[in-house]
Amino acid sequence: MINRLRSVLRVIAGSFTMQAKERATNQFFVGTLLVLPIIFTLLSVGTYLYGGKGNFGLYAVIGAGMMGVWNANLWTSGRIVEGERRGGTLSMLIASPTPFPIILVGKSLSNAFASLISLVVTFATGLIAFRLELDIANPAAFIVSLLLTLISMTCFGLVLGSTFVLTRNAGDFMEAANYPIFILSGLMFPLTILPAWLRPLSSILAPTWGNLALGASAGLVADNPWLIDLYLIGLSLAYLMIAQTLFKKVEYLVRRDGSMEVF
Amino acid sequence: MSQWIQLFRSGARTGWSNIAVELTPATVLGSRIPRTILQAVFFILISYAAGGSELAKFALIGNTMHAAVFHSVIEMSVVIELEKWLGTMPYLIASPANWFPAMMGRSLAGYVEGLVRILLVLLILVPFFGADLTALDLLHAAPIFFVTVASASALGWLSGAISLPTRWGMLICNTIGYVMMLTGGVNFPVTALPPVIQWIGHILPMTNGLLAIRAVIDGASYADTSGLILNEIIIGLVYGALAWRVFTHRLNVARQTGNIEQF
Repeated sequence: MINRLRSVLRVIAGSFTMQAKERATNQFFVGTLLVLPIIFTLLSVGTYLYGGKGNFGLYAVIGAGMMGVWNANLWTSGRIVEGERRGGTLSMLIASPTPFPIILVGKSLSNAFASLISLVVTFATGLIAFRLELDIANPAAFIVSLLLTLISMTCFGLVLGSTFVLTRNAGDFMEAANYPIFILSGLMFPLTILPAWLRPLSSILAPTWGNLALGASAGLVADNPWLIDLYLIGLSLAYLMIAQTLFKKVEYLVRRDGSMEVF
Repeated sequence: MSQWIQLFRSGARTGWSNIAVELTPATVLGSRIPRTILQAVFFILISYAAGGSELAKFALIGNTMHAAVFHSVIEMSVVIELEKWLGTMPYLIASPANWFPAMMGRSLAGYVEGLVRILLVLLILVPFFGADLTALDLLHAAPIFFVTVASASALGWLSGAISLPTRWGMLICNTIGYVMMLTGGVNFPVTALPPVIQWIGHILPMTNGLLAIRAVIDGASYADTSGLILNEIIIGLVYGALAWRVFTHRLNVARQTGNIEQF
């Protein structure tokens, strides 16, 4: 059992490092971690200031950071699979005795931790460009919520990543999947402006609760961040179970049809 | 002249073939259309949260224009990037045929797709966010939409020419697209920006065109907005001329040094 755990951790560490090396030269990551967070912060805070709602500044800054984190995660799931496919290594990874999801977990976690940079960038942009007061009411809760949000988003990314194995158009679908998540999670505006029938969809998304937990820790939302953190843990476990089931099904399909290289 | 027409046609045919491969029903319905509409919805909702329905209407017009402009900037850049990545650039350079009409033809499909995007955003979103916008007002402004997308294409071409010897083409043109969103008065008026940013906005395509479109929709005549339209055309021509110079220079350097495949 210990040996098994050790080998799993070794695979995760190896894929974590490998992904970090690949990321260093990847223009998409430079874009999603450095460029887009600056632009989204300027756009959203600028719009709120123009509309006379400067008090939404910190909310927009956290939302822009979350968008960066999500972008990095979604790009992760899609681009990793697409990269392996284009590099001709996906079939080998699927065929290897090490379960593919474990490799994907290592790579996803690597990107998730790197995506924290986007949060730093959005806070710096808010501070420098708009001189916003970025006081966090409960720093300890903020850090814990942030870590749980990262883990939860990674797990959600795994659910999507499993389906990306099936298509060569993962990149296209990934781009399209971004904005529905931003909208449904209320990353840049209060969820109350969305129609009520969309709320159930919002409530099953990790970014919604991550944003809420961070907002509550920052003192922007009157809620208990620790309770929301518990929900995030539950959500992560649910995502993991769904991802595992999906991976098994997808893996069976591509092995049965031998369709891995057909695209 | 007939040779130019032939080259333009041949380029256009290649462009359409490329796009026909990409645009399967799955990618159109699952990615292209949702991405275009939902990106616009996202920014319109931020404006709605910040300034109510009036600012949402403002953002609707801005994002309609930006959806097409963003696409055409990227597509023009992609035309050059694609030749590079597919390894066909050396043949284009070595061929005695003039590259200009061929490249113009290649970008036609992207231009048309940009216009289709405008139509899509307007058709789907005006009933929700358009309030008092009428089809007649929008049709009245249609020629300015055409001019503005063409003008933005020139910037895309310049971006492609600048990034030709690098691996950062997609990042550069995406950044340009988002910067235009920030400086072009898409979500809030240009006048709300600091003077330096306003100045940058006015030397980029779209800003003047968008101002003209808003004015025409609000009832101004073409004579009233002729200055803005003329500015948009001049800016497009200047960027087009610059792109021509930079691209020619790049090709000459590539011929002299034989390094076109090093990037």
